Amino acid sequence: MAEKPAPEPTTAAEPTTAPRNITRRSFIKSAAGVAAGATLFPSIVPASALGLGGTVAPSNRIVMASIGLGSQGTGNMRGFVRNKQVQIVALCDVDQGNWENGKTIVDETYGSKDCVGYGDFRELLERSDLDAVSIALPDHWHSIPAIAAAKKGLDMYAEKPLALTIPEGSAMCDAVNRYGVVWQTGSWQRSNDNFRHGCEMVRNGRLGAIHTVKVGLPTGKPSAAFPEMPVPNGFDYDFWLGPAPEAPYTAQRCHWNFRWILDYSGGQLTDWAAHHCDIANWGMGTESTGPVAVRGKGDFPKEGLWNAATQYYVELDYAPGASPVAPKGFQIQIKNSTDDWPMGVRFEGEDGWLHLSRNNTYTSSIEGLQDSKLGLNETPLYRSNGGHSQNFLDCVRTRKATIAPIHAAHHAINLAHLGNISMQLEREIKWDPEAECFVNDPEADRKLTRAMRQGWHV
Amino acid sequence: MNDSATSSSINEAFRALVSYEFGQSHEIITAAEKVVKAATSTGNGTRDVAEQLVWLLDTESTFDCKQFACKQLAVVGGPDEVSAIAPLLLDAETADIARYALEPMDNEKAGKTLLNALDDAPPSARAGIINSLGRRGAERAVGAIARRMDDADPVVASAAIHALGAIGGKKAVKRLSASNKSVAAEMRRPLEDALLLCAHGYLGDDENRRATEIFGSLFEDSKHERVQIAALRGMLKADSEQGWLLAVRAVEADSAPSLTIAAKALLQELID
Repeated sequence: MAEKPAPEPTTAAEPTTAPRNITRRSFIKSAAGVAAGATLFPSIVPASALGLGGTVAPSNRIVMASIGLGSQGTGNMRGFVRNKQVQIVALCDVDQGNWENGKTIVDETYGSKDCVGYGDFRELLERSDLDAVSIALPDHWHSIPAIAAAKKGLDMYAEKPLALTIPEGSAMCDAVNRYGVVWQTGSWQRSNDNFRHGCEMVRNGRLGAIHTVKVGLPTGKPSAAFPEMPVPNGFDYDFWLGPAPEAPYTAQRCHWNFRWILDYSGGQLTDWAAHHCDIANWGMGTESTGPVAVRGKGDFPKEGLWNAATQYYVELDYAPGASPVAPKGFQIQIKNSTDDWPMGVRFEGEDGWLHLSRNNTYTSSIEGLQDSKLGLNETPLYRSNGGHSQNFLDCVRTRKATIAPIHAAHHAINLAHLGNISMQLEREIKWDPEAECFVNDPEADRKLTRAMRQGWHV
Repeated sequence: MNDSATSSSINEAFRALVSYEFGQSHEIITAAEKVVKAATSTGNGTRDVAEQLVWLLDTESTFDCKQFACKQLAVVGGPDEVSAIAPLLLDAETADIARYALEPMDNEKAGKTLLNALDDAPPSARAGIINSLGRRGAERAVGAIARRMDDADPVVASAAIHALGAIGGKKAVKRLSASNKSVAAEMRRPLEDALLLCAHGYLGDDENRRATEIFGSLFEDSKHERVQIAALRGMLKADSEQGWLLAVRAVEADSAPSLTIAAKALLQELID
């Protein structure tokens, strides 16, 4: 879509001749009379732009940029650049080597040199030709560019975990909703048939009332105490720090390893909760709410640069009625995985249990559950056709919600953030999931937010 | 995980921090963190710990030590510690770490200290202080922040506009609206974004009417179609009938393509 789609031709049902004082009620009534059962607007974008024949006119391609070209960002960008519905026109990374590598991939794919590299996402967002951006940055950089892109009206495919803190995630949700942009989180497990089917079984009560959901995540590891090092040429380290506290450069702080340091992320707990707690919430139907009490215990490294918990155990209590399949309430338990607490998500109900994980792991106490089909009166979950990133591209065109909406990402990662806060305070915390604050606990409330370094705000 | 700390161990752990610099053994930090955690886990001794942390600010300690102390004071500090943190706000090198402590503190003295520092702080620290006041929702700071909307430094001006949006309320809306025509051209869009924030702050409470006024005004007057789309979306939440009418108008009129598409999608959503 190098050019925005032109307004569609009018139809008999369109309100182009509607009187100015028409009310919503009378309009709906009138439209229903003209085209009962049909959509008012045939489609938001002409079907020819959907690229169903495998060829897409350049003017109908979704013009995208990628912000953040580390390993994950480059992987995401490779997927988009191969898609004939997309034209990647710009890349951005504070490490010049990263965007240069990305540009080589884009240029070789397109056989041109047109793709432009940037070191500052704000300059990239000034381009007027963009429809969407793919964002894959360290967690402490998730909120600022996403909110800036939302203000520009750009749709976003953005990496998990949603945000560094709960208030930042909330601000991101608000911005996406305020400006009406399409959002897809990179929580791709939702687009996997195995996970979706399992969640459908849970949501439709096949396990009976659920009382416990056990989530297994990787174990972290400590590091050495690394010395200060010279900043490599081409790496804008001050920009990399951005809103995070000032700190001397050392290689093991940046790029992939940021996630083990609490100034920038939350360790394995946040890195993986964004996947498996998302599945837990999907199955339980708790994507718009949260727990009411949290108890966490963690082992934090005593030595070295990386300071996120390496081993952890968190219990999160949900109130009765928070989940449609847990009338008496239920508990999510998150733990670093062991032989008897494997990776993935285990739903435990009154009639049986189900364990879901990657590599199509699907084990259950209920025989034949994996082959079971939904009945006519049962509720299916959202199915993304053509894969996770394709679902995003489809929704960019249709303006519909994606399979991984921002509020789901927010409520998934909140579980890890709450766990980290409880672990750091070394006590139970009571949470108000509606107000998103602690209950009569100002000390814990202060742990929710972090002042940003001079020059940055959300 | 909890070992009760004695008074003597607190002193020892904190004293070891005074000369701490990055690259030294991190055990110095974890030992001090353990003392703070012992206090927060039981609620006992946080006052004592806060006093010890202030002592770290008063001594000839390293930057890394002061930064550690401020991060901990963010959780355990109270009004009694604010005076010791205040001087750090006036030093360009330490202004940020002072905000780490003061911004989340839920006492009035922290807010007053940030506000009082706004004029005296070095120019490079002002945007940060304004951001902190905005995050705190400091209504009493609206006037002082509003005066910075036309600051020569665009970072400060932008921070001021955003902070007013974050604070919201009648006074902030009045100052933002009054500047809508006079503000520098490059600040027009941030100002409209701030007004959108204010309008959303009114949603759901007794002053929904104020939200309707702001959304309506932005929809009519903004030159930015993204702001118009956001205003339309907001209007549908504030007053669905008026929002409906605006959406129909957007489809009828020769609006920007993106506004037309957004209006159609919203209408379709309502009908579905």
